[in-house]
Amino acid sequence: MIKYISMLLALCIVFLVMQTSMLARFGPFGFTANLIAFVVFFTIITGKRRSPYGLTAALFGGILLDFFSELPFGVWTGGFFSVWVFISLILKSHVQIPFFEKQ
Amino acid sequence: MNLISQEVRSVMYNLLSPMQEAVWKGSGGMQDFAIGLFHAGNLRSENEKLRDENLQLVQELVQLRVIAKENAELRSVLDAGLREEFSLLLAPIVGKLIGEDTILVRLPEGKEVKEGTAVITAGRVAVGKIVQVAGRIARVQLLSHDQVKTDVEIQKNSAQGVSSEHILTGVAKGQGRGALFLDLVPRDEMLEPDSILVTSNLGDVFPSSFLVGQIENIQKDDAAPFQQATIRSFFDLQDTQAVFLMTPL
Repeated sequence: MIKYISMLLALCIVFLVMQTSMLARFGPFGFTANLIAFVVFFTIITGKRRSPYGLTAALFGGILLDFFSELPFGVWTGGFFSVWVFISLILKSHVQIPFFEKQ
Repeated sequence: MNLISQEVRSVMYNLLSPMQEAVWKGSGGMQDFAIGLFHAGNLRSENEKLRDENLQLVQELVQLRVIAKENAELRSVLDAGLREEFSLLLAPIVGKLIGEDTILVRLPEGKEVKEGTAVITAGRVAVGKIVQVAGRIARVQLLSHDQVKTDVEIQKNSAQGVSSEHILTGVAKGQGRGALFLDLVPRDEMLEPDSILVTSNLGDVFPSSFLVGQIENIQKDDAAPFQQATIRSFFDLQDTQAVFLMTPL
């Protein structure tokens, strides 16, 4: 588990660097792909219900985005945490997502 | 919370800036490679050369207009030469904030730079101003940032060439995502497409006559007291590796 979480954190940092340098430079019309959001959503959706991976990705990814955003600190973290709560605790309790979830 | 966050953000900027700077520089090479792969010949280098020459010519034209105007006003004064009042510090671009028109630049060692410092390119194009200094990293709010308004002077494409009879001014407002538009130009004034916008000495950040952009689409409403226009900015983030900070001498 520690190995997986470490990889997740490293991936978030690499994506953050790419997102704030290379992708920010070449984004069409000023738009930049939010790679960290993609990692967070993917981890939450594919993870098991109450899995620590989704929560870790949401909190760490949110904090990283908060560092490199002009929004008040905590907006991204709070947003991702809300998404995790919604998908992982509410949606997966009531909706079967057989393609992603293997419980 | 926000005070704490500024300090913590400063630490993060300084921690990640070496990696960001390397990727920013490397991505310039990648862009060259990609364009070279898909386009024949050396179109890119020629394009850059022509663009630089064009900017220089535009700047010379603006300078000629300004000098002609100043000459008319200051001819009787003996020491009326244009004096350099600023020193320029080179600052490589490190990265860009997410979803915002704010870039991060690395400050030169041993130099004190304050918030509010004007930032320009080598082609004397106005870039923005420093809004936060965090160690050796500074945040630069671009002119296209949605909270930035810049006083500009409109250089008309007059058929008579250099003309100093009437100064037309307006305000360039940032719209985010690299977009700028011109506002507060009285409806009675004649705006022309492709007119060049330069910074005005009415503003508190830039000295006068730094390039801002060119007028594109003019929107004139008979009911509104002012006319507006979209601006094609001269600052291109994709082709810029470093900027200059204008610090007072």
